[in-house]
Amino acid sequence: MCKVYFTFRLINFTLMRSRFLLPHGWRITGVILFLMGLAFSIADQWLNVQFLTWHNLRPFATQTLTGPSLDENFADEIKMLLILFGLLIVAFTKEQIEDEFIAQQRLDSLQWAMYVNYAVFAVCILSVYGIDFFSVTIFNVFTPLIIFIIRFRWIMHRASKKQLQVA
Amino acid sequence: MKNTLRIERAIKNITQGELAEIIGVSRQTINSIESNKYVPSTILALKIARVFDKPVEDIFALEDTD
Repeated sequence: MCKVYFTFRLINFTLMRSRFLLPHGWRITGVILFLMGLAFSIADQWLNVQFLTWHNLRPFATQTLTGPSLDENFADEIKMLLILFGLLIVAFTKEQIEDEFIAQQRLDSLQWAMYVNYAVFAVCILSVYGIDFFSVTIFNVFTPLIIFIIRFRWIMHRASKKQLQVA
Repeated sequence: MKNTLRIERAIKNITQGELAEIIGVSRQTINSIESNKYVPSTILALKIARVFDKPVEDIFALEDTD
């Protein structure tokens, strides 16, 4: 049905460096998953959905503020997984034609995303404390992917602009 | 490295998209090579030269800073 291209062969390696990438058509699936996760997260701030509740999951759990609870509902898990897989798929699907230039930009963007992400995180370490810091670290799990996607798409957009002047 | 890709393309009267399609790369790649933002691999340079039926040196040349 759907084929995942994990190419390990070295044939045409220099031109088609597209290892560990999903087929181009998957991108829309990623966008939909991400938007579903995002919409769910935002809506849940008011709705507070008890989704897939499992009563008595941990019968021996002692009720504390931060510890695991007796019952579990999987709304948070679903939200996080939708956002995570959505972003992962969007980030790592092939371009329509995947070639050496695009592979280079992909790699550059990934490095760039790491630098920016940890620079921001370093600022957060120094400026955010307590429970807020915990929230920041959760957010920080997703930001490398977000920064990577924005940077890579921007580079691709810039590279597809036609240059009008003739050299 | 400088190149005369844009000129060669004008002589042959093909667009960036057409050249990209012949070689099997994206149009962004051809665009980036033409605007000197990307240095192609040897394989890609040879393929480009083959399209224009010229030696690679006629299209790509080293600059003093290289």
